[in-house]
Amino acid sequence: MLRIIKKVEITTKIRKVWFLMDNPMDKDKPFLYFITKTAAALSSIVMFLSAEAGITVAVIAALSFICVFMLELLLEQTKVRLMGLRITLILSLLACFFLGIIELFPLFIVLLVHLLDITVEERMFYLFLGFGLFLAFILYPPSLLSSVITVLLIVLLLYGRYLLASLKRLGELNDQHKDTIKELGDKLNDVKRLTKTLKYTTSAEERNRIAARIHDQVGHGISGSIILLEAALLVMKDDQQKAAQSIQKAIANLRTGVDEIRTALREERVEHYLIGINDIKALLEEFKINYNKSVELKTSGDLDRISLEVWTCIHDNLKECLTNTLKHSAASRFHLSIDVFQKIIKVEYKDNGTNQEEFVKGLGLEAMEERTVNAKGRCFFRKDEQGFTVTNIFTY
Amino acid sequence: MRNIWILTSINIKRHIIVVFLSLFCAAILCVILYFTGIMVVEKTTALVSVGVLDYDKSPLSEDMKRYLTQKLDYRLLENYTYDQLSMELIDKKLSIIIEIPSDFYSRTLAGNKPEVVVTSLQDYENSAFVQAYINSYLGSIRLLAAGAEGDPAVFDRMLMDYQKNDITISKNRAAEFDETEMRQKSGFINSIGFFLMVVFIISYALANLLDEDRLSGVFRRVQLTPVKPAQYLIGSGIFGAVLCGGQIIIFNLYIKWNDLNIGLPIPLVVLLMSLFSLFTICLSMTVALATKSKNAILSVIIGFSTVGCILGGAYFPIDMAPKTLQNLGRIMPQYWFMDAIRRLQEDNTAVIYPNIIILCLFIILTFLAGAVIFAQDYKKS
Repeated sequence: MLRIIKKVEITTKIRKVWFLMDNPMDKDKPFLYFITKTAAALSSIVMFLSAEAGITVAVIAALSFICVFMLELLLEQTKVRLMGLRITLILSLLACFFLGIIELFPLFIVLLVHLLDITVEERMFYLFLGFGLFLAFILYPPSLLSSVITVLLIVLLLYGRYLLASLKRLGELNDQHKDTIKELGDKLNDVKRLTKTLKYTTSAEERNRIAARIHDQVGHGISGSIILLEAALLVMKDDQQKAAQSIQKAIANLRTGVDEIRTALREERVEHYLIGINDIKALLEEFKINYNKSVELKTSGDLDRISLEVWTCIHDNLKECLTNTLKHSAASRFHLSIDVFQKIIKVEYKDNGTNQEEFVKGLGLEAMEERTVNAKGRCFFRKDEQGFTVTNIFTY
Repeated sequence: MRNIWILTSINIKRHIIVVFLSLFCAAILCVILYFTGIMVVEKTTALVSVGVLDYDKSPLSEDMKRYLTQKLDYRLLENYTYDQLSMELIDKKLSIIIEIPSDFYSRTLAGNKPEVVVTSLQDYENSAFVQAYINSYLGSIRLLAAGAEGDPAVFDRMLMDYQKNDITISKNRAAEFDETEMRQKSGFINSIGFFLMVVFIISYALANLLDEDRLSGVFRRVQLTPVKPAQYLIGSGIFGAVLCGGQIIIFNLYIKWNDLNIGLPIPLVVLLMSLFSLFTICLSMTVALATKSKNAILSVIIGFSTVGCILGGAYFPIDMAPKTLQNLGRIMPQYWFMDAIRRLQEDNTAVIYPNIIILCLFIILTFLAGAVIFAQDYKKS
């Protein structure tokens, strides 16, 4: 049991290390340190020159340090990164002492910061850093140039660390958002699939229901009539009166059946105004979802008085108006009102577009006018500060 | 090891044009060594050209011109207009222009100093010498004029006697040098400067090869075979080393064969050239791994080659350059290479270990940079 727990712990640790290596901060941090340390090593050449030391020694020292820093970058790709990094950093610090800490002071400090960063916990980092800097400045007081370079490098390094931390935080946030978007996308797909299934199931159920009703109410009547007619055929020669009675009964049965079919169809049929208004509602809903615009529908009066021809015209005009709203108006809201009065039907399509340009009647608006005239109506356009309005008046 | 060898031989077969280019470059280096040496010697030992405008055309002006050519070894350009001579002076084909005024004879005879105008654009040192020689000559002539007491016939006779009484001037060279040795050494130092440029052509060809392999999918196909990516890179590196090695061998064999005195031991030359070649091979591989297009490769390599050679003093010494520029040059490997060559030419026993260490460090640095980029790409893929 203990072995299993230990194995799980080790696996978790390995995963954690690889996760750390993969996230942007830990991937870019070595480069940040590499650049800062290289800058510090190159600045050491200047320090050596100002101390009137040989340029050759300075160049060799700087190049050797840069090679070690490059090796550290290479170690970052291996599994012994932390151990290797600690060893190279400690060796580099010792080399700084050996070669002359006064000339290599900026590099010494940057190396110290790096060592602290990989050794000390994040919450204790700044405390240790402050203490380390204080000690270094007290024990090995640098020259003015060296101090300026050191402070500049430290500030840039810490700012770089801060930026990387922010990048990491934002990266994590981005990942969270991506997960949420993916989740919502999956849900949306589920809902779409469900809607499709529901549509199919509903229509199948409806067909079954109608079939059952026809079978129950009409099927039996027709079957009975067939039997009666066959009986009439058998007794026609012997007993014509009986045959006539059977035929009479069959006729009555069939009439009842036809009446029942009519009643059933009347009951099943949807009122055409309902088809029309539902169509309009679906169109508006689709527009709202697809383009994230606010839509509003108001109706008044008896919609049943609107003929199918007028519904078709309203439907087509609405499509044209919605397209125009998207293309030209830059509106955020669309309003449709259908008012049925005693003698007329008034339909108003209105948006709150902010387009200041003068509207020109194009093909779309002309087609709208033509459709309205064909449906025995009239079409009016109006544009003001409130937006663009199209009004249709139909008579019936 | 077998895979590496196969890859190297395949690379040689696939890129035979590059191999020929490398050999051609080696031949070019040998030609440069031969001809630049001659050019330098000719330039160094050539007579100084001086333009003369003689408005006087008197026996005295003729005598002064004779003095300049026969006694002082100047090459005089006469019978030209002032404009023509000016153009020659601007083109640096002339050192100075001497204008002998029309009253040169009469003024000298009257005991006055004539106004001989000496014009120079850059060669101020030579101009000062000529001015001093003319003053010295006129000083002697003024004595003759004083003796003639303004009588032209007496003056002419005295001048003729003066010419007959030729005073021999013994001339010694300021520095003795062997012309052949100078030609060979100058040719070598110039050709080695060109080597730094030529080796980058090989470097570019190698980087291009790696990039082509990446774009054409050869690298991906190699990954599907038992050949490891590192082996592929080593194979390409060895191919680069073969190209550079061939160049180095041919160049040094030419020196050895003709027994040229280049001023430093050939093994050291081979060592330095090999180290620099290794550096360029590592650099080309790093650039090929780091960049994404051929244009980028070309820009980086040509840029580094040109700037490095100029700052490193490969084409001309940078001793006269500002101190900041000289210090900047010291971060270039070209500087340390040329520095080692120049110091060895001056003194065969000069210590060049620091230069060798620095070149080695540059090789390690570029190799590690390439390794880091390769490791990252490999991890990503």
